Amino acid sequence: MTAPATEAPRTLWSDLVSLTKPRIISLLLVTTVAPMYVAGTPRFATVFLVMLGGYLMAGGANAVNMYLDRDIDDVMTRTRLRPIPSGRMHATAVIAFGVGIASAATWMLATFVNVLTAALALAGFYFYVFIYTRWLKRSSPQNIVIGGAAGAFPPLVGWAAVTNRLDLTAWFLFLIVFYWTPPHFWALALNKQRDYGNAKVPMAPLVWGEAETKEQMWWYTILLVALTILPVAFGAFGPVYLALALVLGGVLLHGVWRVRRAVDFAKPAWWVYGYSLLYLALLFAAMVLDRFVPLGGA
Amino acid sequence: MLQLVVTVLFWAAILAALVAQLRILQSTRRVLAAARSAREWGFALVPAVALVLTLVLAWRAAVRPPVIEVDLPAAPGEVRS
Repeated sequence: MTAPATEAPRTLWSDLVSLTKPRIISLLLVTTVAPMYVAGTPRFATVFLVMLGGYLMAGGANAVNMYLDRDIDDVMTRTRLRPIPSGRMHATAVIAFGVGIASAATWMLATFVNVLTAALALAGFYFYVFIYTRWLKRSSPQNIVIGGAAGAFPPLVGWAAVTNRLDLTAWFLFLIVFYWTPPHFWALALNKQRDYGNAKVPMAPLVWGEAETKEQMWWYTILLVALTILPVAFGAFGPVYLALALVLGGVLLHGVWRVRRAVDFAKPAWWVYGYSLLYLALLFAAMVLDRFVPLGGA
Repeated sequence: MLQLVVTVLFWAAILAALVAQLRILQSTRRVLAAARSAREWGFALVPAVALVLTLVLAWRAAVRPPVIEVDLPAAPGEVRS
């Protein structure tokens, strides 16, 4: 496949960076670092090490994902310009790179942060590579539901880096990301059905139909917004967070409602896909803001 | 913050979460009616069980009275580490 004429020339460095999917990792880092400030008062060095380790671990998982998915990346328009299907990088080099940086991340987190943090980050890597990419992605329409757990590990990593343990608030942050995943990715899948169909990936809209997928998006969003409110009740967050969670959640619910009701859902689904990214980032920012602007807790 | 508002929000959120999870399972039952796949049912039920457990833990944490630590003076002859 010939690259578009407008595309900038690719260097090895830019290909290596693209293997890590930096745009996706930026959101993962928000959901890693924000819980660190909710859990306590981390040192700058710890934050830096967790960000670097988190980037390398998630980047390694993404590179291994590109190795395992190289056959379907070639048939999907969204992914066929990636380094392997475009022929710019050899598959063996890609998996070596992925495993290498994930191993470096494990060593770094275990040595300079703590073993629990390294173990959780590695568990996220294994979950993404083996449970999601290798097993569920091509075999179940609930690939996104269960696979969403892989993306929910970063809050646990951030929390453990500061406290060296996991408590109820950390598990709530895990569940928030877990339940955020289906409406976010199904909004994309609704608009990319042909791509997923060509690649024989059994995404929910293709297997269950659009109506049932939109129905589940709606209920998953209600569940998500409900879960964002609950930590306030046991004192994890205060009124600043509560107000922002209600507003952000209300906007998301409105967007998903529009998808659910629309016959031509393309526009509202794209809107939900984009806003849900912003939603998660702002929700986690609200958690930190709540810590620094205390107006009296519950 | 008014404790009443938090309590109302807490129970409203618990109710919303349980109803939403139930509707997700109902939807899953509809889409799996023909397939009858135990594995797919497992994928639907595991998050539901985890959710219920987490809600129970949240409830216990919400109703738990605050722990007040009082440092009593040492009794005569008592040795504290």
